[in-house]
Amino acid sequence: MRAYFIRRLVLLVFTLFGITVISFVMLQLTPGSPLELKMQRDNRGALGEQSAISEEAMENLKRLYHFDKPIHVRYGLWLNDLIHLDFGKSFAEHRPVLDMLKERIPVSIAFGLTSILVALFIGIPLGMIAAAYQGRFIDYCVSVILIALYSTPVYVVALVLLTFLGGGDFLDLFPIYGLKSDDYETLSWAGQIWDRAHHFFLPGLCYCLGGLAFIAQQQRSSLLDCMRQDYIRTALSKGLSERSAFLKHAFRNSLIPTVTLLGGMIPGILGGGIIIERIFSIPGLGLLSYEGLLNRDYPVIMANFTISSFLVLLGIFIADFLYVVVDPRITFDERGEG
Amino acid sequence: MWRRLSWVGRVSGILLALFVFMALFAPWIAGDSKNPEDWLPLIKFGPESADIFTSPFLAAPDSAHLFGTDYIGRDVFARVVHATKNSLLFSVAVMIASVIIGTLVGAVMGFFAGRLDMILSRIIEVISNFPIFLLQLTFLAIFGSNYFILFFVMIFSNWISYARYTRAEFFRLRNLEFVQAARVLGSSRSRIIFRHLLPNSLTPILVLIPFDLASTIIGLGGLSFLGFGEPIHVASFGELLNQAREHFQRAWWLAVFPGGALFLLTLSLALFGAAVRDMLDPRLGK
Repeated sequence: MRAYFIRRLVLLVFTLFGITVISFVMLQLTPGSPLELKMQRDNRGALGEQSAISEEAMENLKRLYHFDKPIHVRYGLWLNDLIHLDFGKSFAEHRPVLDMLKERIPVSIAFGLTSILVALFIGIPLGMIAAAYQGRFIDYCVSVILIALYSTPVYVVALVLLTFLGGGDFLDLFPIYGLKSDDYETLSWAGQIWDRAHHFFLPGLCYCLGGLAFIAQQQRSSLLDCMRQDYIRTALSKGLSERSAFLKHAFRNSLIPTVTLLGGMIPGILGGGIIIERIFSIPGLGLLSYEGLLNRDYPVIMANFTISSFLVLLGIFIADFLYVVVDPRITFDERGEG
Repeated sequence: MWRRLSWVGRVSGILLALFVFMALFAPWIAGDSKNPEDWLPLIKFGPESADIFTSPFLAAPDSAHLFGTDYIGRDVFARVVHATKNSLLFSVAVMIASVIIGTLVGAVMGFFAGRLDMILSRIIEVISNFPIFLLQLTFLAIFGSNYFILFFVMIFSNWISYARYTRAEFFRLRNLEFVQAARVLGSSRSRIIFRHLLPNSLTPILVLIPFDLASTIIGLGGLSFLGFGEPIHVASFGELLNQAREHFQRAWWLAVFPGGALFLLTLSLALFGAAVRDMLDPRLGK
């Protein structure tokens, strides 16, 4: 147990260190330092034509923001702020990045959790059905559909849905923008829930498809793997029906590799969201990173990198945890070796 | 080969061959021609050709423009053909570079094992935990989108799966008799690696290639869709689909045809890859 946590902690530190150093250096070396970019903005945060500030004031500002110091010192300062949960102030919006994150994180978590739950409760049964009818027509259909879903870029799905259901020349079934209608406040509570769900549906669907196909495929192949094991042959030869051998013996064991993959879906809460949130204008973390990049909003970009590395490592921790929970034969120390 | 392939594999293989054909002969399929009497190119519009006085903007598909026109009057069919060419060529280049880097690193790890393997394994572990898409976007946003940087960011983590497979194969093979025999006979290290181990560990790498191509094409499309990928004037799926996003209420053809072509391309790669994998790997046989 102890060895496991030490190993994971080392991995966490190195990953976080690697990703933040790369992004920090990358951002600091760009033509036009972050500070100069900041100074070119007017009060509303728009990029101005020329820096309207004297050399002397600029020097003072550089000192204030530590730009007179070498890069490794600045990185240390940034790290120090990070430990105190201070992500700095957004250049574009002139308010603490932490506040912006607080607004965006619940949105992304709602979509991310939905996609994980859908993968769990639809993907796994789908994979089971395909495996149960292996080699037959149903298996063939499910497998081809899953490969199709898995290999379709999510932006194509989203755009086709938007075009045909979003009120162009075709059907006008779903809202196309944001999380709620403009008249949200005036609606009754049932109306508000309906409005939220209505807005949630299309982007939520796009969020789910990839993970659903991935988990279903894994479940199918892991169940087929289990069906070939010796203990299934033993169970069948001692007279157990195929049905109960399948459900009681193979199914339980087949869940082990699948469930642990759910941990791998956690980073998708941010990474998978950028394109979908851009298409449907969903104010989540993905859109925040996109806007941060467009605006060269360095504190926001650094915050996003930090959060997404944390999510990746959280995913690994959860995967390990699930592994130990679903498979009593495995201990934390063995997982740490992997 | 062909006779052992399943029918899904055959259909997707033919579809894939059509896409490759389209990519190779793109200039003769759709291009500007000075003389309207020539029968080549088949479609008389290039991906860039648009005359602001004569070409209709966002025109629905008709007999002249099979897939309609985009927001500045360029022929969507021509752009789809050339987008296929661009993304296929680019992803093949990325794949080749990734295969070379990945197999070399994997071979070194698997052959020398020990401490070197441990250090490289940790580095790979750390890199594969990076939020790659965000990192790619940031690189491109800061250094500008050109093919050189795009190539670099696409390879950045792409070689890792090849390295993993090669390493695993080397570990499986390194103590087998034919390798020991080569060692005893005094073969040099490089001879053992390149003559004995590498040729025997190619199957998983070959199986990975179609899936890798599909994911590179999808990733490239995503980057271009957000405006950070291929240069803006180049015909690309991402650029066409971004137009579809802007004009989704009036121009369904911008979503349907480029999206459909991209879907068929990645689908045929994935189905073909799955069929080839089932054919090469008897353990998965029915």
